[in-house]
Amino acid sequence: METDELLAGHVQELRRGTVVLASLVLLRRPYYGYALLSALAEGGFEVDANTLYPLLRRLEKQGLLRSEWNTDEARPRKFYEIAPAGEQVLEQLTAEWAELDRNVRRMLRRTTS
Amino acid sequence: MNDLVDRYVHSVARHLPRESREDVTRELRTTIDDMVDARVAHAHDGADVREVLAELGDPRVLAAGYRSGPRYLIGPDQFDHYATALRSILSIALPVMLGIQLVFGNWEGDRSIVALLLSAIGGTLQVGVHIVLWTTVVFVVLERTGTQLDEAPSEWTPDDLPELPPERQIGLGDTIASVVVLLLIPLALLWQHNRSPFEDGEGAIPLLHPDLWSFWLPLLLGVVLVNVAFEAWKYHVGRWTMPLLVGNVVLNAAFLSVVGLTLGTQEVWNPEYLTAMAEHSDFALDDSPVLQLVFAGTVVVCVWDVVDALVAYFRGAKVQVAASRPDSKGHLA
Repeated sequence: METDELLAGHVQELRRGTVVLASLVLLRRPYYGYALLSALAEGGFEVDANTLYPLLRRLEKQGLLRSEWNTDEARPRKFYEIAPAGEQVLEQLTAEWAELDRNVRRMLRRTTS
Repeated sequence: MNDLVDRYVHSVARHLPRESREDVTRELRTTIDDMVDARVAHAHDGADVREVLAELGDPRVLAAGYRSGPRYLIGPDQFDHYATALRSILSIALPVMLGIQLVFGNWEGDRSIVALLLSAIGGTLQVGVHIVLWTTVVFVVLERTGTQLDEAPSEWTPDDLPELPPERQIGLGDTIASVVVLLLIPLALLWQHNRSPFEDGEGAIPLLHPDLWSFWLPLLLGVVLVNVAFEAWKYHVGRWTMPLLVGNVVLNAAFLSVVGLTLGTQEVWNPEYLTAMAEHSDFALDDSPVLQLVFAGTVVVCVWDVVDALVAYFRGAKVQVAASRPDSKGHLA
């Protein structure tokens, strides 16, 4: 019971930064808020709605995303898409992720053999 | 149903900065609609605006996510400075204020000691509240303007480590004791002015000559107050230093001079008191050596205080030199 809660806390900690990475990957194509939320969930990244929407705003403010209102349809929606600065960040984050994975694997191999 | 959405969006919008309010609420509204539609499409029975809003959670929390500015008054960089400043200002100002109020709060002399104490404590608390408020305001302004109190907080090196503080010579207990003893003087003076075993038509007959209040007693009280402030300074420094030593000698000399001059050149006893006393007892205060004893006692106390400080100063200096030199095994003494 208690260890479950403990584990949940650590898992959340571990996943926190990966939401940005996953969002940047998906936003190579334009998405509006809820569609992105669903796509993330489909891809295995369950994110709370009230975390994702403010996050998109922050990334836009940082210049990693750009956004546009699409009013062609009955329901006007704000579409987000990755910006050039976002592409650079994404590249570095991906490399960082790969290295983390390599390092964890290597340490596991060393300690379990 | 839509009423709920309106209320939710409004609750979020209230906490948003004006410039982003419209855009955020517009997006939020379509997002909520999307979420509701998705539930309906997945044939959730009773899929409901209510569920969607519950999923989005407390509007204040959501709005906080959209805001970027700091949500604190004083951040971690400033907090230590803030706490230190408050502590040192309060620890000096409050005792001094209490002393001032005790001495000057009852100039008219028609209130009881309890009333005097209460009003002095109340006044001191008020001053404390003001100090806390304005110190906080100053630090909030520093925080908001991004003023860095540390010169280069990011480039810390081990050289920045402060020296280990020398062991404290002057403890809080000593300081409080000294201040209490000092404050007994104004209390005693006020007491004898308002309370007396003898009374006439106008009230209590003071023991000391009322004319003394025109100059000598206020002067004495002034010296006592400076002494209280000095005690606070002494505590703040924590150990005897040369400036403190000099200050101690000067203040003791001043105290001794004021007491000596008052006793030597002024008429100390109130003639009315002496008359009233003569009616009740055989003891003649003006013929007794009380004043000489008081003066002698004052001399002893002042000289003792100066010598004591000197001894502590030289002993402290020796201890410090010894502590800074490692012994043969490389351990600090």
